Amino acid sequence: MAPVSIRLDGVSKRFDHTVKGEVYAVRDVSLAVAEGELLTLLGPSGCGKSTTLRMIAGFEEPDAGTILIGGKDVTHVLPNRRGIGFVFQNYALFPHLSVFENVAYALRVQRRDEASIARAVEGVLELVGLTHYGRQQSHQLSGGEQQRVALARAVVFEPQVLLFDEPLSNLDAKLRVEMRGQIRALQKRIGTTTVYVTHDQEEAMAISDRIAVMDKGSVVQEGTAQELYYRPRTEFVANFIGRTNLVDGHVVSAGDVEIEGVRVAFSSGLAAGERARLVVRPEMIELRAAAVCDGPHGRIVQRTFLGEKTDYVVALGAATLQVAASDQYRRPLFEIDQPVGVYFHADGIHVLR
Amino acid sequence: MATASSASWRRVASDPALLGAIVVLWLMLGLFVLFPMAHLLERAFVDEGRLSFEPLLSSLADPSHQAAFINSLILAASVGVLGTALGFLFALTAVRAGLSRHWLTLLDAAALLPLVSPPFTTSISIIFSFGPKGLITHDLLGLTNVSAYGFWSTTLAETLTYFPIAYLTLRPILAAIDPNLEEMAFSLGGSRWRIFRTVTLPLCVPGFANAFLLLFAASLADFATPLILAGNAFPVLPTQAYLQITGLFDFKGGAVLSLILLVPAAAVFLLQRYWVGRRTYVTVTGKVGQRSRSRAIAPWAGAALIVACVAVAALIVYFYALLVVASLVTAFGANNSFTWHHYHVIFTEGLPAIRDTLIIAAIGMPLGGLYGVLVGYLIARRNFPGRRLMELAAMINYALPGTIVGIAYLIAFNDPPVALTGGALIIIACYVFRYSPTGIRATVALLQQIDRSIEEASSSLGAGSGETFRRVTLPLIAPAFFAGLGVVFIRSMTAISATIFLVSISWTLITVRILENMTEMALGPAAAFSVFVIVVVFVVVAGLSAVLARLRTPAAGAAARSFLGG
Amino acid sequence: MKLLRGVALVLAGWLAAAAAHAADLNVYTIWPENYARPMFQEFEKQTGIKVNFLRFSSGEALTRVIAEKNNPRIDVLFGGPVETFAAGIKEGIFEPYKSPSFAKLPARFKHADGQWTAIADDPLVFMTNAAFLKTNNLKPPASWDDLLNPAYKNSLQMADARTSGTAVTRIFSVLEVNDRNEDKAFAYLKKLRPNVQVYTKSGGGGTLPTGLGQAAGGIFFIVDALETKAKGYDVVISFPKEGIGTSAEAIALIKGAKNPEAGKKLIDFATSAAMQSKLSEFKVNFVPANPDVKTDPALAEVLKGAKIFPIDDEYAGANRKRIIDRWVKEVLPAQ
Repeated sequence: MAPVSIRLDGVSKRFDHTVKGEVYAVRDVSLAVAEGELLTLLGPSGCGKSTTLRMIAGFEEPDAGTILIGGKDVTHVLPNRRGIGFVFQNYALFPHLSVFENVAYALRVQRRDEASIARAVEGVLELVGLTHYGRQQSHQLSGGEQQRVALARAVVFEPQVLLFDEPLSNLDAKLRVEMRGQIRALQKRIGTTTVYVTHDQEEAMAISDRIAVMDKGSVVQEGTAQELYYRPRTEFVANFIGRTNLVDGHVVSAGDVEIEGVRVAFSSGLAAGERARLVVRPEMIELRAAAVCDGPHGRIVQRTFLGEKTDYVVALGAATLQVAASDQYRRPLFEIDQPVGVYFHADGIHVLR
Repeated sequence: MATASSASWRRVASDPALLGAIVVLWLMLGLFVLFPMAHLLERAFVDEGRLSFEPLLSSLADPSHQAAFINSLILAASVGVLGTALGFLFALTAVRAGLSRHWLTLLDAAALLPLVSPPFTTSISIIFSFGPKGLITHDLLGLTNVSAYGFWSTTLAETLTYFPIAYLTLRPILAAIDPNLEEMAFSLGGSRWRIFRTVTLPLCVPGFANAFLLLFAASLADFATPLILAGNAFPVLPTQAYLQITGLFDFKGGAVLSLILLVPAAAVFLLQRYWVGRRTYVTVTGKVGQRSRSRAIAPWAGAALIVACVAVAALIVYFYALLVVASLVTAFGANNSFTWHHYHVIFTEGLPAIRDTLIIAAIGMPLGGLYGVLVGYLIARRNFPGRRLMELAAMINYALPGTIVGIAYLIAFNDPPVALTGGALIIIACYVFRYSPTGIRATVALLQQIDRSIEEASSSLGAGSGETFRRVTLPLIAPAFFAGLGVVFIRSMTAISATIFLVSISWTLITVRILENMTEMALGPAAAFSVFVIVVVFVVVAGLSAVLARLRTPAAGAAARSFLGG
Repeated sequence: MKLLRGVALVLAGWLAAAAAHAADLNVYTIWPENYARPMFQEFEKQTGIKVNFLRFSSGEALTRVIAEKNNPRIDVLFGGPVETFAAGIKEGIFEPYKSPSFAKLPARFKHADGQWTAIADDPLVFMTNAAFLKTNNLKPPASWDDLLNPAYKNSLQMADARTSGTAVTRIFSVLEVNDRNEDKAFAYLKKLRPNVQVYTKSGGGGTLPTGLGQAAGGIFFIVDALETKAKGYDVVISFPKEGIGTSAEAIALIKGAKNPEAGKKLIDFATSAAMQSKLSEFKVNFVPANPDVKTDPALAEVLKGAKIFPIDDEYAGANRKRIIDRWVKEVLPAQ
């Protein structure tokens, strides 16, 4: 089946809140998911990502806007006519059915013949690595196994679209990493257009073609993981994706910015005398011994050795900076309270405004 | 919220199975609930074509009616509290005390006896046992000046008669609480009592509310027990309404009294909605924990529970032993020689009543079970305009005293356009619409514990609302379905207050024959009929349990395996 | 699917069908089934007309007939005290009919227009538990005042005036022995109240408790009292010296009956000597209304010397509702 696109145009959803009255869970959201793409909706809880996903699935109906799947308006189409495979946070396996019957469910609904059902179910169980689990009851399985059954159940009928609602949040960390790899591999293999919801930015970056960050019911930024990481449009995105330093810079001239007294050759595009809000990722700051450095010195406040890198917290003027040093194998670590020279790599600085 | 309601209209209209179910249910509720009620209201408030509240006002001003009203509330509240407590005691014992299956079955059987009995049987046994010459008060305890009539004996009889409803409501809920949850609290170092208080009890709150409501309403509407036991010092409204109609030929006064009774019934209902509606406890999800035997009850507490249950069960069994004795002796208390004569009488002269009752119960049973889960599912799970109204309409016939429902049916269906009196259909309809709320409530309570995502999963996998209901919801709420079906069957075999007006020359009922036998002083045949009814109900209930045990519904269903006992 | 639908349709038709026995005679009987059944069997034997019947207490039977007024389900209302029939006349539910025996009957055994005809007479009696009398060293009550003895405190059972014809007859008996002085009669009834354990729904409701000793005694119709005795319960029947009332048992044709001819035949039969002579044979202890039939010797023996008076139909009918209301208001709540 050729992959299809998903489009949301100005979709809104209100709820009646007993105290606050009418509140927007989702406000004027427009999104486009390309054929075969995996888009992740990322945001903190309550940002509207799950509601958006549930509207794509048809579990909720938007109060405004339209939803198109494969170019067809499905805004008011019931979930069972949308051809979506949905994987729930709590797996939502049918407790009264065996693993085989759980997976076969959609095919039974389609009244497929017994032989083709058996073939398809066994095929997809093999795909998720549960070849001999067909006769088991769902409550006999571990959490990871249950989630794989849920996945198998969602893909077995070759849906147009796959939707995942925080599918890994009930699993332990190691299993989470393993499962997200499997999900990504499976999605690539079957090529189904997918929307994935999570609050875990690392998971989002690991699994997605593109990410849409949501906050308070709206999409604040869309893009690849790199775009969001290096070119966040708002402080919210900058803070939510990865660790970050948000510092104020003083524009000295067209080609120079001063950060807490440290002069950096960087063209901000702002006029001299203006203040710039800058995003500086921890790995884009370099520390050097104070002796080899003129200008103002920073002071080490905290040090965490992590093996592949060392995290420092450095006080520089009024700012407290997070610094990730990955070249520590070449020289001794800095000590607490040691004065250090702070260098900003100009090509890693991003201006918010 | 014009947009929201028009959206939900549109959604309903695009879902043919849902739309069809709603339309059919409303048609039936209209015909068998609203239409007779309209006739009743007309009878109560329309006088020669003019609206008149004079009968209502004069009824309210009558001090004996005021006393009856207050007595009804006291009785219903007492029965609600005591019955819920007793039901919870039995449910807790059944689910947590670690009884073997064998003993559990026996306990179930004793607990269900009162529920499967024809009316009056507990009352008659109480009169034999507690009067001035009563077997317990006089022969056993040597007391002579004891009255078997009044508040306490009525409360005792109604509590014993109705507590199985609370048991049936609470047991699946307790069973659905994952023992792992209690285990977890236990492992966190909570004392058992603390866990019980802070984990188990709060999770049962919706069940308590349901059970209390059901018992309160049942007691409020019961006229048979107070008629025999309340005596004259403790008049209650349903009895007064019944006497008003059958004694004083005052339809209007009886209708007015019964409508007064609707006020507390509606109040309790709304309170329950408001209270339970705010607390949803999702413990059954698609993620199923490993089942383990609970250590959350201390061994001595388990033993105490068992002793308490056995004591209550023994009292019940004693009452019914009296009944069996009465059916096998020539004249109870006077000529105690053994005879099969009474059974011979019921299987010859009483045969038409037995045949008619069985046919009616057999037809009403599946209809009532299906109706119960359908309505329960729609009001708990589907959002459609008029949902609350449907819930209310479905409760009306249950909340009203049976006498009044019977009279309303008689008035409404005696003449064209819908002349149904004289047939079996009217009796079946009366049972289905009057006794399914137990199934509805059980369905709602169970659904409150089943996560919606399971149904959403089905719908995303291509199943329409009808198919989802059939393939997923129905198997998961099978315990509620069988509870509802069982109650309708049991009531079809044992109820009397409404149907005493609906039996006809072509279709009569065992219970009506029992009442007649009682008033004819033919205690022997009355007891024999009662024993027969109890045996039939037990056989059918045992059959239902066997079917339920075969249904492979591990999560919700495992709890239901010996759900109906027997 | 088609077959299933067909079956369902047929089934629905059958279940919804009203009484379809066109040729049969349909009857509500107020007489207990064990009294009525042999009478109907005899009628079937004589006429070949099958009788379908259903037993109700008088209040319930009347309520049903009134409710079914526009579409009557039965042809004849059989048995039950005359005061029930008097209430029915007001509702216009009866069709006047005079059977061949009508002329023969004394005036108090028939409605002047033939709305109802009496088939038997049923006097009230005092019935007491023999063991109770012995323990308390009492003689069987022989006067209304004997029942006021504190020994009976909270131990008599008698019927509730709201449901039972027995109770109405009893209250009018008290009125008669007090020369219809209502205040005097009600003073007596109120004095009796503390001795009453419970007022039962039906007239015979207290007989079994009396037989078992749960109650000391009460005031009942003689049929019920003799039936209790016949079952083997040790009870004593006595009469007050001031006299006690009796109520006629009646039969009536229903207006709009589907099968009036058969109904008339049943009335002819029930009012005739043919049926009433069977009462004695089947040990049904009613006193025959038809003057051609002799009272059963054993029953006559019980009644010998008893002072029994009929309740004045006209007086009772005119005052019934008011008297019952007063009883409900004044006697019932008094303790």
